[in-house]
Amino acid sequence: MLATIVDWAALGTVILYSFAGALLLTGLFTTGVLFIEGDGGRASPARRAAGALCLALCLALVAFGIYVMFTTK
Amino acid sequence: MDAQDVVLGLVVVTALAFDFTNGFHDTANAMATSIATRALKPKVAVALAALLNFVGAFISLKVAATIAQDIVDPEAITTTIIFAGLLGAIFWNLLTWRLGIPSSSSHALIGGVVGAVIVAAGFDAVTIDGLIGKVLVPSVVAPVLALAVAASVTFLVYRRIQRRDPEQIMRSFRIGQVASASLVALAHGTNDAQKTMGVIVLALVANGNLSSGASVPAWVIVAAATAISLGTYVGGWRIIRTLGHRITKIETPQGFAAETSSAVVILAASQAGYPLSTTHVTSGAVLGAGLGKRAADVRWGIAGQMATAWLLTIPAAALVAGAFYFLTEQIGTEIAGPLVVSILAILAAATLFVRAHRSSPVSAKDV
Repeated sequence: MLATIVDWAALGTVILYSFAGALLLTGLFTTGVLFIEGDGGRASPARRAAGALCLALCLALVAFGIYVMFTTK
Repeated sequence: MDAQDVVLGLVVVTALAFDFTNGFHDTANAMATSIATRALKPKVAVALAALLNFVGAFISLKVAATIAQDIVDPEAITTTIIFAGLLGAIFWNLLTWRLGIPSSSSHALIGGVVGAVIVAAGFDAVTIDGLIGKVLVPSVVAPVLALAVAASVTFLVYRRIQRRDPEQIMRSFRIGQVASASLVALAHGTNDAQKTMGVIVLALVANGNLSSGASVPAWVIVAAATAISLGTYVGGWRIIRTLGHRITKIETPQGFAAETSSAVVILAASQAGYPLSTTHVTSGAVLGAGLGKRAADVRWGIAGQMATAWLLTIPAAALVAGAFYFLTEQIGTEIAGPLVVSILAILAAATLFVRAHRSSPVSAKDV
């Protein structure tokens, strides 16, 4: 009975996007913070640039999230 | 002004009252962890959530024109059913607020409408497949999925930061936590204020003040946005305390993981058109954030209370709404019934509020 009532395709998409999105977003943010903050001392310019890139990608994902809010309901 | 207009006015006021309780009941969804980790001061957190809920109410492009869509027969819905359904939902929201338990306002509203429809038109007017597929299954999926996502994310975040000096990176994680909590608050505004707009539009159409398919009047959007944001600003401190402190002790990286997971799950569900309760998602994510950190202490007794409340939401709201519908019908659906029932409901709600504040007051200082 559940097989016909539940929208399995939508549920699968939600599960996939949720894991992928959350892991990507937190992974990028954590990597960005760790690169920028350095380990004990000041981070090298290359690491700071890589960190900034990670955080910029994070911001882009958040902006995409807000776009999703605007366009789907 | 005739009797029908008075009843319509009562329905509109009751819908806005529901919206208000929805706001203060759900403040915790976005801000409980930010308050718990002191990323934000309590008053600042609820003010930010209120602002974002207000903005969110204007963002959504399409209003949910019908409540309990695919769950009850739309032909069976009358103004009195909406009125009784709203009262059932308000009382469940107030009771769970009194107990400090997060529960879904959407499910309370659906339960209320289902209960009133059953009393008015019998069980045949309820679509069981819709109830299972659109409400019951998602209510199991939401917390389990959010728990799994948040636990995985928390585990990975702690693995990455374990060798770092916590003080050095906490400021950045606090910023991340506030940003993700803000996204949850915005999403809440886009979802939940729409329900009240839908209810008011439905009542206006039923009363002949608005033609079917007409766009939502500006005053309805402003009123619903104001009610939900005022409710959010009042702050349901009891539920904030439960989500922020009583389930597990939340640290900043956990709060960041929980709020980010909640935001992503809610947005993924929105994108896929799969209805998930914001409350179920955020509660599951807080549990997951507790499980994902090694040696963290999760209080399963509190989680069990929450699960019980979720199981009871629809039948309890249905029971109260059914009783309100029956009472209204007995007194008279013209004007006397809704008026008398409104007065009784206000007295009951005021008594609950006063008793809660006298016996166990909880304020911003306690979270």
